[in-house]
Amino acid sequence: MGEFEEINLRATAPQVRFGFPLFPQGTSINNPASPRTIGGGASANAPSRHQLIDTTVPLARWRLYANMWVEFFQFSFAGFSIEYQVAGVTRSNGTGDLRVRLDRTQGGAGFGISATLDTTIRLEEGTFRYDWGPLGGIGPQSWETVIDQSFAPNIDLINIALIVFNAMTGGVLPLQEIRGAQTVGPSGAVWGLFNERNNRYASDNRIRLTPSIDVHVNVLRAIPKVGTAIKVMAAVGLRVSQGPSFIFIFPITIRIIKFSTPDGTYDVVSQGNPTPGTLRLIRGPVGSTTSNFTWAETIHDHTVGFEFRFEIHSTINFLGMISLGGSTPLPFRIFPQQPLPQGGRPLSTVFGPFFTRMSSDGPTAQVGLPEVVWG
Amino acid sequence: MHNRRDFLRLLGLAAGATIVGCGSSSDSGAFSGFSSSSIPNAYQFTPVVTSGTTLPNRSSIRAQAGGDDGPPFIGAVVVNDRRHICFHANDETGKMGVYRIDYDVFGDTSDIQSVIEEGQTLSDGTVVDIISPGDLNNSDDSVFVVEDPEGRKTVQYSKGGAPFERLCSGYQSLSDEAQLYGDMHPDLCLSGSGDLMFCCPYRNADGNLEGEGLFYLPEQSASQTKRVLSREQLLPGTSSAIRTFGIFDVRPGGNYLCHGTAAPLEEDLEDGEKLTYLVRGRVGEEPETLVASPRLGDSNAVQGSVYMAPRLSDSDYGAVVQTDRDKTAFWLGGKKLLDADFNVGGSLSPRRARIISMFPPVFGPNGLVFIQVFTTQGTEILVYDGRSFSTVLASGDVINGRALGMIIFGALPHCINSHGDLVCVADFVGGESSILLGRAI
Repeated sequence: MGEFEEINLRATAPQVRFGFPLFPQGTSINNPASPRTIGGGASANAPSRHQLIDTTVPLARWRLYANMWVEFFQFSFAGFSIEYQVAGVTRSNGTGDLRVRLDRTQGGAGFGISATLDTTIRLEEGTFRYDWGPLGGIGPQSWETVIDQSFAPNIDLINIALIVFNAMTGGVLPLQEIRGAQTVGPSGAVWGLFNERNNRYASDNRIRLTPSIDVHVNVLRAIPKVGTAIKVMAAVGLRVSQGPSFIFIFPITIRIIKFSTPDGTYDVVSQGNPTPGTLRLIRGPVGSTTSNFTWAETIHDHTVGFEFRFEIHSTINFLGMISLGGSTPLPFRIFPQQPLPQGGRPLSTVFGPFFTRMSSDGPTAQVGLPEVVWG
Repeated sequence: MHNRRDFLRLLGLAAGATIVGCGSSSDSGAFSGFSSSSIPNAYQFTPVVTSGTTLPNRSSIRAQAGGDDGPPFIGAVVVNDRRHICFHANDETGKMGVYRIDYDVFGDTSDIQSVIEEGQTLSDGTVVDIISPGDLNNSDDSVFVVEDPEGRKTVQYSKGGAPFERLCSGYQSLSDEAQLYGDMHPDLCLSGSGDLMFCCPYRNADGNLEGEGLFYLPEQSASQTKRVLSREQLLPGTSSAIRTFGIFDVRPGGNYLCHGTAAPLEEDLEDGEKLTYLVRGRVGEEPETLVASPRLGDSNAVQGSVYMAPRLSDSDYGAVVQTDRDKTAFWLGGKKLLDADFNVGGSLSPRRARIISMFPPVFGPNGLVFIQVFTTQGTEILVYDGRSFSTVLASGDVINGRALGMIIFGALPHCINSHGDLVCVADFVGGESSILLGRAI
């Protein structure tokens, strides 16, 4: 029987931009991914332009014309970092116990959306001329613009959503700016949504991170020039609101499934454990086992649940008489693997399992970390 | 003197108000004043508040429209059965406010009282910046969505004219069904029994943002708030799901009417055009779809778009349904009554002018329905008694010696009371604006 104690394994000194990508490509239990720098490259998509409202309504002798566009530019990356300490015992019959403790895990995504909200609200007054021709009726008409309000602020949607949410609720969204990460478009930064859990293995025999956020705010009043226009329009009974509405939840579940010692590799199972935090090693090498070894390697699998919706809501109200607008989903991908949402329901799916490897003395744990600071 | 209408006009002038006979449409096209079983013989119109009038805070209502400070009256005005009128006005400094003026059976008016004004600090500390159109019921309860300078919206309720108290806000958990979470809609509706209908994004049972919901708050009891309609709820009779809510109307007992946008399930990302619906229901029961955009797939519903406020009576509904950028139609129940066409003109008004557009209808007493139409010659407020339309008031009519220009009637649903008295905003050709009270005689 070989005993071992306090072997530290870590993919990083938790830094989300270094660790395991959430969606490592082409992994299998025999070909797990190693830690690496996550994100930091070019933006995921070119700018994308979408129409939010295009409606004309006859109103008295006027035509109320509303046209809203959003052009957005996005950037994202996603990953998790992990460290823990293992100890335990191996037996000559190919079994053993593995205690996992001091686990510390961060996981999440960095993303940013820079958007231009291009809005035109125009009231045109018609002039009419009677056509005395054989068919009669109201003949060709001309339109004179009575009100023409246009604004096209370029904003960091996430940043302004944070500001407005804070002003509305006094609460703080679980987003942090990733300073040093690439900015998004002409304005805006990359924002990180992540979750950190400590010492979960001791109770759950797995680690589950649940980064989540949901927001519905009207951002227009927080944009100085637009805020002035909003007041001007309110004086004639026009109300305009616009802003992002999004939910983003992606629980990440991580388990250790293989454990390697200098003697060989064991399967790791969590069923029937005598105590929480202690995993069973099975199907390992048979025969005498080494004690007090200092090298170990683990293979994890992880799955990523995913619930996501990102929309721009836009409404124009005139007194209690007219209401135009609605919500427009944006084809925004946080993860490259993410299918584009269809319909109004949040995209809800589970990705994985993916496989990753961590070694106590491999070069992966000693790679220099980039200077990225949360907050 | 050609007819009784002219006679009534003269009578009104002599009495310090103006009486306008209800001229009807008829097969012969004649426009005499007439009386059916329910239509008043005439309306006596009196300007009860006029631009430039001094307000309780010693400022004055704007003298004329123009500039960035808005017109004197934006058009939102309501009247209840107690003969209390609430109206929105802008003062000379550009501040918005809501004021009240009362009148008696003889048409004599009280002093103007302030209801709520921009800059005012309410009991919960809210500083009033933007005031929604709001509503007033027969108990003198009034309610508004008030936006503070930071953009925070709260529902402020005044019971029987008492000081306003916060009823709820956009990020408040009211009940299990009403975990509000987001930017509240500016429009709301108050029933005669004090039940409130409003729209706000909400969180679902999992604690995650679901989207907009339509809520019913009975008798100021926030903990009893029910979610009436929800995002992703299937539109009855279709395989399309509700996305958003627009304007709604509610009656005592929880009967409601609501329009909004919907989309076929699993539809690709949409661009621009919103598909609209109109549903009618009763709180706690399955609603029925009355109007739907053709792509929503309800062949039993009236086909078209609804952007304008739908209106509800105890037994019927009225809606302006749009079929293209120029064409709208007034539907009462399942029957189309008027066409409007910006391009070639629609139905003829009682004064023989082609209708080009309409405002939302308003239900009055005795089954009467009022609607303001715009024609190539101006505008007319029409009343429908189930058989024909009559003109109640029109641009060009002379009130107290001044010719009417623009009229705004029906901006809010409660602009007629059970006495048949109606209120509207009228601009005179000379530039003055007034809140006009029309009393049925």
